[in-house]
Amino acid sequence: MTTTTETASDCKIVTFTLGKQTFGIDMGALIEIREWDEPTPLPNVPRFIKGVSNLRGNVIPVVGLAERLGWEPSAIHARSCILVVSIGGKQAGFLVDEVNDIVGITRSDIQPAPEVETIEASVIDGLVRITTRAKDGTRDENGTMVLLLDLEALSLTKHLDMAA
Amino acid sequence: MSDELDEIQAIFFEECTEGLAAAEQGLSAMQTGDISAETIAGVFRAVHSIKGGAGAFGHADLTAFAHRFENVLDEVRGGKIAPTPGVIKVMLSSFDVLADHVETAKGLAPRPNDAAALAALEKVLADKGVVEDGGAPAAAAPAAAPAPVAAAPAEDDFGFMPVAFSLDDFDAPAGPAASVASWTIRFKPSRAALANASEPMLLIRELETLGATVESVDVSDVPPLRDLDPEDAYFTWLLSMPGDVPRNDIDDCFDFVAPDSLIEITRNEVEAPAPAFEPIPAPSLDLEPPAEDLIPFVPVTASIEDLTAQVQQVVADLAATPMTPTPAPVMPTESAAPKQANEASQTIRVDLSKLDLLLNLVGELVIRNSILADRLSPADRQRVELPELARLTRQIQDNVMSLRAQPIKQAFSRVPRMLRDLSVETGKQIELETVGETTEVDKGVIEKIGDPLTHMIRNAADHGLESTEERIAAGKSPVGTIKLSAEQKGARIFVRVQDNGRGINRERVKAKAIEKGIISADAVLSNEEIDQLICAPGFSTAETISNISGRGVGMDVVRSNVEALGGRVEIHSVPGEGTTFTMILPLTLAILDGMIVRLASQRFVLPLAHVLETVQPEPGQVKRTSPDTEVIDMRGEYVPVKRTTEIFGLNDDRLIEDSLVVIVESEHGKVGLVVDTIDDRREVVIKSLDQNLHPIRGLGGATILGDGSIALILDIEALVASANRYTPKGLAA
Repeated sequence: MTTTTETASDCKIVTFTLGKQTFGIDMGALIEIREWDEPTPLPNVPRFIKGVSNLRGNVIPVVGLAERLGWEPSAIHARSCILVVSIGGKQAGFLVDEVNDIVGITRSDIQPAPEVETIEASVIDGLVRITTRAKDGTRDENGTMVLLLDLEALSLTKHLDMAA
Repeated sequence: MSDELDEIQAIFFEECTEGLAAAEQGLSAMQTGDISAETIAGVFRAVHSIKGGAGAFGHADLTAFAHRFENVLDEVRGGKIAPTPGVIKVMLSSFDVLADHVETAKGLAPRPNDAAALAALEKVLADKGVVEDGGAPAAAAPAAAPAPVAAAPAEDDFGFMPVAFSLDDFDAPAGPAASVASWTIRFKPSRAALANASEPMLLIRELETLGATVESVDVSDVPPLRDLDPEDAYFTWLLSMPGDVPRNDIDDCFDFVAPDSLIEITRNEVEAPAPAFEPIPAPSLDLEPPAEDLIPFVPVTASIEDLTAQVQQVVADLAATPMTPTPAPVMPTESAAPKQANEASQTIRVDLSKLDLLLNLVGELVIRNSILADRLSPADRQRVELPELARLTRQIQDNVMSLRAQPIKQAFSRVPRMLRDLSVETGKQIELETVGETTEVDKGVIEKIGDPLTHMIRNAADHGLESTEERIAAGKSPVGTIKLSAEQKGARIFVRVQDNGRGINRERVKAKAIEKGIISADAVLSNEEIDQLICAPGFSTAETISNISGRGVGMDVVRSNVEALGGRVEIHSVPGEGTTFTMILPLTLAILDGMIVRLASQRFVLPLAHVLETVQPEPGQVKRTSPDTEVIDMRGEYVPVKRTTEIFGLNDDRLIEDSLVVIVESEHGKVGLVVDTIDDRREVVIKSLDQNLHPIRGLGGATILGDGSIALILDIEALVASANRYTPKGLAA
């Protein structure tokens, strides 16, 4: 987990994968990364809420992020992780396929995501290109596109209010 | 610096609240005939320390009013004004104005109109003056008496000026009395004075406004430059003060000085006793929540050491919070008043979030402890250390829980004021009786019963009690009584509001309910059911809508608030004799006595308070009444049966004869819940789901079991309501 040494980065993001896509969230919202542990299922909640988990005495909801974003549910494997984030003072765990890296980006490099016609507001804040290290240690000059997630839009309270 | 000042000011306001509560308690006691010196001195001290603090923070209006009030109290304390009911009434209304002034100082209310209260206080003082003139003026100031007593009348006379609002006006030395020997004040602030936000410069300026002059400054303690800490205080000041300045006023300046400062106030070479000081509590340090740390891949165990360290940290933090002895400074020159410092318990002020953090961590410690026990070999488990550790951890947990308990007095404290206002608004004479104020309840419960209690009191005063004429016509005492009581029964707290008024007019209530469409015209209701209608939404019987109650939301709000706390409201009324409203509340919001049941391998908690009995159904005992409803025959009574598994979408292929049926009851009736097995009965710590998620229908929260896994707590009210009122399609319906 090394940080790229690009100059003038003013924002750090944690990148992770869901299927073949690479996503990023603001490092400031991240509380911790945990191993996958089967949560306790809840009744009467949207399917993407996998249940609740015990985070050092706090009961936090665990969200299948892939389902929440409308993709196929993640299959649980050895590298499955839960990203514990804080959204507006509330904590939630996001199930992701693999955590990749922490990278610095420049806010001005963020490009807007294409408008998509969906019922709810887009949860993609923008797109940004990052250079990644290939397996052999050399830099992949083409870089990877990262979809930056808007955590506020992913807020569970907001969504459940709509569902209720 | 300004942040620190804000924090200290916040502490001052907290002390104001406590002071006001103490003063009100004392005044109420005086009203009921307890005019002992101790009670009066208690009220005086409370008002005095509010004045002192207000002066230090520059709340001139509050200071000025408190000062006048204090003058009267001082005279009462000195026996110069008899605490007649009339005088006590003036003091009570002055107290209300004082409370309003405190609100103003907090910035929560506009400046109250205190002219009437000031005039009343002046009149009390002036009447005393007449009495004194008629008596022996010489006796009022015997030669041996300490100077402040002699000086006080002069100061008070000056204070009668109706335009004087500033403390300075009172304290301006009265010229002719200047022949008294002057004071010499030696003041050496403690080395750490500046760190305690006690700025000697401000203090010396304050003394100077009283007329003091700095005679000399002793700089001999200033170390060589290389050893000098610019944030330490090294100087010793020698000041002289005109002799006609009352000793109390000088002492007041030192109210907020660090305790280890050297202060000597002398007159005529007579060593005066050192005054008692209130230390200023250092601003509390915010504890970094551990959850904020980025800890990648926290292992499931192995964190027990971290936890222990964290608990130690929090405990150390708590201990580090400075002690604040509650009594106000004892007036050193009051030889008549015995030192009362030991009557107050030693208390510590702690941020509630610190307690909650501690509670959380201790809870985790308990869990880790049992995980550890599970992983040890049986031989190791038998050793004495592990059970000992478990016992200690449990004890810590119990103690932390008890820290959150507070006397219910806090919730009751605003009632007397409210009733005085209500008495004026309604023209009814109301007497308040309180019982069981010392009953201890969880802080969270106290915070939440304020609103329901207000509604119940207003309801009792407005609707329950009759007007004075009506009462006399009915042959009752013209003064109506409202009795407020609290008692603990098992794990429940009973809070009662009882009036001796007219009782519920059931005919009218029923007619109104029919008119409002709450019940049908031909409904046959028992007396109790009619009484309960008062709590129905949108119900109000008041013929004219008063501004006190009668908007038709009051009792409805009471019921929903109390139910949200896991409690219920009971109404008992006898026509012509009065009505009793009882709030039955859980002792704590944090702990639940629960039955752990297993359903399709998942564990759930049933609140034990709702459980009536458990049966293993005989063949044929459970009968189907429709394709998806069942009832169980309980000794002739048919109770609806609910397959909890259906609600939660779990697989259930078990025969009902192999399951257990737990009969639970709520106010909506009884229902039988089908469960696989019953695991255990234990107290569980409730973790609310809406803290991080959203309230979920059918669930009262979650808890963490001994092995660290989560069990959901079932909300019986919601389950029973859905079973008895709707078709059992599950809670999502």
